[in-house]
Formats: sequence, C-alpha cells, structure tokens
Amino acid sequence: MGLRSKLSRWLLLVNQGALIGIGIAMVGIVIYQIIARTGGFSVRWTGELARFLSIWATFLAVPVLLMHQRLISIDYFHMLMPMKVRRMLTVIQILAVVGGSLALIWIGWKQVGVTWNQTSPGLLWPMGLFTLPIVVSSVMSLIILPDWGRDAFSDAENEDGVGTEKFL
Amino acid sequence: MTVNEILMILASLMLVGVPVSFAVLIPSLLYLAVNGIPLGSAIGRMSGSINSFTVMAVPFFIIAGQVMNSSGLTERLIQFTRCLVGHMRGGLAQVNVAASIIFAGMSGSAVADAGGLGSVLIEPMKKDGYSGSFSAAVTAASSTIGPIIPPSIPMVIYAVIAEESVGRLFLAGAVPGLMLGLIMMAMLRFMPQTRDVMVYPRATAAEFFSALPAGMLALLMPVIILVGISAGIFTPTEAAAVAALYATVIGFVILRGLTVKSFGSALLQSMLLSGNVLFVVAVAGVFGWILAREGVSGDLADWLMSFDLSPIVLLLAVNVLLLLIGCVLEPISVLIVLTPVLIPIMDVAGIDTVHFGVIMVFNLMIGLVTPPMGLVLYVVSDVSGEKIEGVVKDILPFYIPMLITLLLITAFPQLVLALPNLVFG
Repeated sequence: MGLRSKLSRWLLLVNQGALIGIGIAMVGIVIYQIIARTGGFSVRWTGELARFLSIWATFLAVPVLLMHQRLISIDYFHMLMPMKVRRMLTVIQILAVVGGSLALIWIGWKQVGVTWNQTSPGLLWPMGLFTLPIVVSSVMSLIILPDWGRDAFSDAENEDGVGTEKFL
Repeated sequence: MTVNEILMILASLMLVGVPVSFAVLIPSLLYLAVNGIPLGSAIGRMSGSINSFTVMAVPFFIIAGQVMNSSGLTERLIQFTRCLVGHMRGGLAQVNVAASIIFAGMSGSAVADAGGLGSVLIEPMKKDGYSGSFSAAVTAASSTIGPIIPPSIPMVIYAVIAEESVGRLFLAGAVPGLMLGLIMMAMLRFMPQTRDVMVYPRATAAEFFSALPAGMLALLMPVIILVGISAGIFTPTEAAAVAALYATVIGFVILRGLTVKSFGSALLQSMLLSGNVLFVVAVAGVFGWILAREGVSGDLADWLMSFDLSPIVLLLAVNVLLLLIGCVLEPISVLIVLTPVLIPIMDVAGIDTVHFGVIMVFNLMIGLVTPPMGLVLYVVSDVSGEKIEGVVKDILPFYIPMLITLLLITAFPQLVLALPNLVFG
C-alpha cells in the first residue's frame, strides 16, 4: 500500500470519528441550550457553536460520501449507455469533481484569509473558521480521488450499475 | 452568461451523472466569474446557507430515526401494528402501511422507511402468500407517507428555503399523511392480491398489552416533537435534538437493543446522510442567489399570471410539472432548485406557502416511487431481490390513493391548513 493510499485511509478513519464526535456534541449542545433556557441561565454561544459544528460536519462528510460514491447523483441515464460511453462519462464526472474541488480550494482559501479578522458574534471566533471546512473538505476529496476514481470506473464497468447503497 | 446557459450546463452535468452538488456548483461559479462578481461571495453563501439553526433539524431527525431503527424498535413496532390491523383482510400488507404511518413519526425520510421496514417485512409477507414484487410495492408505496407525516426532512428544507415555519409545515402534513395511509389501507381490502393470503387472528388483550409499550415508545416521539413545538417549549431544531436524545435513551436503557458499536454506526450513517443533503443545500445557496439576481421568479410569475389562471388551476398545473420533474430528479434537488422560483408565483396567486409546501413535498414523494428515477423503487428492489419491472407493475394501483389524496389536498386547502391554523392561529 502506497503512502497516499495509507494517508487516504487514515484521513477517512479520522473523518468518520470526527463526524461521530460532532454528532454527539451537536445534540449535547442543543440539549444544554434547552436546559439553560428553562433553568433561567441562557447562554449566548450554544446556538452558534452548534451551527459551527454543523457546517464542519456537512463538509467533512463530503470526502467520505465521495469515496463511497454516495453523493446524490442521477446515474440512471449514465447506466443506460454502452460501456465505452459510460467510461467516457465517468471521466467527465471525475473531471467535474476535480475542477470543482480545485476551485473551492483556491477561492475558499482566499475567503478564509479575507474573513479571518472578522469575529463571530457569540463565540468571538474568526469567521474564517466557518469557511475553512470547505477548503479542508476539498483537499481531502482530492487526496482520496485516485481511490474514488478507481471505484467509479469499476462501477461503470459493472453491468448492474451502482447499488442502492449509493442512495441510502 | 444567462440563466438559460447555466440551466443547460447544470442539466447536462446532472444527466451525465456528475454529483448534483458539483453540477450546481460549476455553472454557478462560471456565472460569477463571467459576470465579474467576486468568487469569494460563493464561499460565503455556501457556508451561510447551512449556518442556520433551523437547518440543524435535518441531522437531528436523521439521528433519531437511525438510532430508533438500530435499537430494534422496528421489529417491535411491527408486532404492535400486527395486533392492531393484522386481522384485517390483507394481513401483513395492512401491517406494512400501518407501521409506515407510525414509523413516519420517528423518521422523516421515505428512503429510510423503505429500507428499515422493507428489510423486516418483505420476507414475512412472501411467506404469508404475497408475491415478492407486491410485497416490495406495498413497502415502497407506504414509505411515501414518511416525509408527509411529521417530522419531515423535505419539509425542513422547504421551510428554510421558503422562510416558512417548520412547526406549521409539520402540523400541515399530519392530516394528508394519515389520509394517504387510510386510503391505502382501504384499497388493500379490495385488491385481488390480498384475497388468498394469510390473515392473523384478532389479537387477545394479553397480546395487545404486551406489544403496546413498544408502540407507545414509537408514538411518543411525534407527540414530544409536535407538543413541544406547538406549546412553544422547543424550537423545531431543539425538538429534533430532544427526539435524538429520546431515541438514544430508549435504545440503551429501555429496549437495550443498542450497543456502543451500533450507536456509533447509526450516528455515522446519520451524519453522512445529513451531510449529503446539506452539501446540496449549501451549493444551492449560490444558485438561489443567482436566480434571484436574474429575476427568474418574477419573470416566470409575470408569464404565468398573463394566463389569468385561478389558484386551483395554477396548483393543478404545478402538480403536473412537479410530478413530471419528480420522475427524473431527486426530491431534495427539486426542492432546492424550484422552491425559490415557485414561491413568489404562489405569493402573487394568493396561495398559502404552507399549503403549497405540503403539495410540493407530496408530489415529490410520488416521484420517489415513479420510474425511471424513483429511488425508493430501487431500494425495495434491492432489499427484496425482486426485479424493478415487477415492482413497478405492482405499484401501479397505489398511484390511485396517492393521486386522490393529492387532488383532495390541492382542491381543499383546509385539509392541510386547519390543524396548523387551529394550533398556531
């Protein structure tokens, strides 16, 4: 197993662990918000922290979804095509994801810099932290891309098409 | 670059199988670049679209449903509904629909309902004498009730885009969801497929009371959500977090069907499912802004109003449009693309946006069981091992209750609005 594959597997494991942790934290924070409000000691940071974690969770999920080919897509017409066309379309899909991810890294990184000095109203954290997950997720997507591309090609060559796991 | 060009690129990318999020992102970025609009605004809008407390209800409701399912409540729920309706003609088919109605109160996703109930019910239905394709078809058709009865993930997404009250939308879906379930159950009594199949003896009081706790546990979830929201105790998002906590406590402490491993796995699946939906919502924030900047909704509204259509005819026309689009596009994508376009039209026509939201979600749920892109059809075909053609053939009669309910809620807004108006005024 090459260094990139090891890194890719490690990243996915860390990512999945982070998603579980964020899920628990989000529920916990909102429950604490209810307790605080009903207990008469409202705190101003709970809503913002939960939203912050929700943004990170959304973008951290993207590389994992990409790896397992579970991002919402319409593969019906793709699977109707003959094998040669299907391979060509798979190349287009990969190029679209690479192009989109590169654009998000480039634009996102600049935006993180622009907004770093602005602070959020509740936590007083740099606003750049709210846009950083877009960059992190896109970098991760590019790291796992060779594995994803390989699987996408093997699915394209599978006569039965992609399983319903993609949608679940 | 015009909106038509953006839509053409978007449609082409979607049709070749590019993930919907990237298919929306790429033409949106091109539009900004070509029109000299700072690209950084796209990043701000992506992050801003999901930087919302209401949006967080999506992961919480998904967690609640997944955790409930992992804790083994589904099997117990089926036992409970068998005690209630298993003695009726159509035995397990009736149980399937009744369980979907109750399951709908725990999960807001048709795909999750079809997968969860299908994996437990389809095999026993085959043993009771139903064909595999009919068992799969009943599961698929009844799963469409899931996102109509509260809680509902599509309704949360609609509420965020339309800036409408989640609580009102949830309550508005209750009557249409129940109507759909009851009409399906009535139809099952007369279908030839339910004539020579096993019917269970009427449950004894002892059987009923032994199954009752599981049923109550499941039924309590929508009660907590709706009462909490209606009474002003929780916001919809807080109610969703309470539902997630409730499911966890039930799974670990009361049912004891949940282990740390299965809990972690349910949580991971939930976060991935919600990430999948919210990533599209994030990207759609940029796309929605472009549509607004170009005045697409206004132009379309002016054009439609030039025909001088009455509200009911307009709604019927939109129903046809949504049914057709729902056949080829996935519901969340349709909601995200069409809600900002259609809401101003409904406003001009004087149609209540809560009424319209329920109609829109209902149409898209029918799309979920309509070929060629009906995701739920693929799920039940996968779970049952039946060919999709057979499932499609057997699901055809179920379009009757779906279309009857759709027509009723379109023609009589009070069926949708009475409950939210009663509770919220």
